[in-house]
Amino acid sequence: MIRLYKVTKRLGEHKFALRDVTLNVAPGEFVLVTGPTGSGKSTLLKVLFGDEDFASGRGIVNGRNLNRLDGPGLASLRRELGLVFQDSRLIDRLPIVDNVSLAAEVAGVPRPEARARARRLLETIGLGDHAEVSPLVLSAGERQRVSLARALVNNPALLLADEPTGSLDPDASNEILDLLVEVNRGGTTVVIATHDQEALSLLRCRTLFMYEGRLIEEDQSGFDDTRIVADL
Amino acid sequence: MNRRPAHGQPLAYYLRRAVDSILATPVIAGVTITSIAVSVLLAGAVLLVGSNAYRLIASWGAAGVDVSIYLNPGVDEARIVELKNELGADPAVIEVSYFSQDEAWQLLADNLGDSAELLDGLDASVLPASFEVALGRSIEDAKLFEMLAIWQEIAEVDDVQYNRQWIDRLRNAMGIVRWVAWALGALALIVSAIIVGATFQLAAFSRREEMEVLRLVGAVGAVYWGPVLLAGLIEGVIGSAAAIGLLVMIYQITAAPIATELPMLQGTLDFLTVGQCGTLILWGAGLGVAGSWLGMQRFGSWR
Ligand SMILES: Nc1ncnc2c1ncn2[C@@H]1O[C@H](COP(=O)(O)OP(=O)(O)OP(=O)(O)O)[C@@H](O)[C@H]1O
Ligand SMILES: [Mg+2]
Repeated sequence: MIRLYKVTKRLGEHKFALRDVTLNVAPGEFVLVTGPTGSGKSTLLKVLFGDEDFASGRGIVNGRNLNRLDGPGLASLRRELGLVFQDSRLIDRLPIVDNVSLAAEVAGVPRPEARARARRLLETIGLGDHAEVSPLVLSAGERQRVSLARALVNNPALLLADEPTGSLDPDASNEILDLLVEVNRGGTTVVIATHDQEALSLLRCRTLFMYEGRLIEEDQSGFDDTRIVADL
Repeated sequence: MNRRPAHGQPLAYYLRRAVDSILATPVIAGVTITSIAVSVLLAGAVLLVGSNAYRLIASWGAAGVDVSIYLNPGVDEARIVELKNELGADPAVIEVSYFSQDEAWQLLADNLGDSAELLDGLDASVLPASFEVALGRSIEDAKLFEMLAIWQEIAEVDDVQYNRQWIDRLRNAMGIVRWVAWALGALALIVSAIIVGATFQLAAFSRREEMEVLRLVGAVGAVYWGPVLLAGLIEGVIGSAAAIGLLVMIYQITAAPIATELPMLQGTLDFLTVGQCGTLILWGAGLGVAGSWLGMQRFGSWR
């Protein structure tokens, strides 16, 4: 699903956002990326969805060569992925059902079908009654659930989440993590960047540690499977 | 793998999103529409004044040349009949009329109307008798000057005047007026294009987070650009239609008084043709699309 080989992104003479990052993620894996602030977690995810380019190294995501992404190729990659950010990135002027269905509409799904899908997803995340409200009236946790629904509306092969619980209280955090685990059980590969200690301790799964742009894989000997092993 | 080509959507889809985005930011849409309306109003005003001026000149050019031949006092009747025949003999002359001193006086009094009392105490003999000679409008200057020279030489003729001089002078003056109007119009267009550009930059700036979200979900091509350009088109058409409506109102309020003040304009004043209005709407629509496109280049381009 993800193959990075010695990906390097320089910020200055001696400063690296990413330094020789090599990473393989198989389909269906659940992976956490952690590390101190400024260590390059967000940059790594941005490279994976084509928001940052890099100076050297090779990268393939969902079968697409990151080194040779043109505009349309990049857009296609984005339609194959689901993205969730700390700040939800919803369009406040649109009701939440439209926020979710928009992602399907831009992939060519006819609007009635896209909206039907969006409504089903909102039902499953417990916001079925709020389909027509603006994201502005929702709590942070609810907004993040809408953002997750949008990420899932095209049945992505890979879901990338950058600090998805970063602005949430513990209860809302757990709800989001629950949903992410469920998504993973449905077969979607999930990569989460986080420094949420609670999430890290709850989700005993493959964890990558970043430090000054380098990726350090934690000892996996305790696990016989890199799939999610935690029971929440 | 889960590949998704960038399929299109039906036209109604883009229209709905375009209209939605206009309604979502009514103030910015209002400013944008107003700036287009101002630009089209300026262009329309120039076009309106310009085409009326052009029509006026054309109508003057269509008038024939009239020559007034003023006679010395005391020419006798027989000589007048002789002279009239002589003048009318030239094929270029369409009509010759004689006005005696008394008739000239009467004409002047009629023209003065209520102010005719100004003439009290004056004698009819202060006005000369004259021949009014109508020449076709196709007459060439060389031929005209030749005839004028011959008439001037007739012993009984005091003076010869003709109207082409002031037609030519007016024509030159109108030419200058038109050029000034075009120059001012062009300047106004440039200034208004800058204002329109700035308002569209503002609109694009206000949309930039939304466009960022669209890029994150992989919107590209028509689903990305379509609604924005279509919104610009709609705003352009609304703005230019409003400007034309305003121009119609201004025309209806001002045309009648102008025609009363300047009777020479009667019958030549007219509003823009349907084709000219269509051009103005195209201009407004083009401004809207170009403005949206430029704004997106700055605040909404992919990568
Ligand atoms: N556009 C940029 N220009 C210059 N430096 C940048 C840019 N983006 C990120 N950086 C730098 O790259 C480094 C890695 O940033 P990144 O955002 O990936 O860290 P992070 O691990 O996500 O941190 P956090 O936990 O605070 O989110 C930081 O030193 C940051 O200052
Ligand atoms: Mg980060």
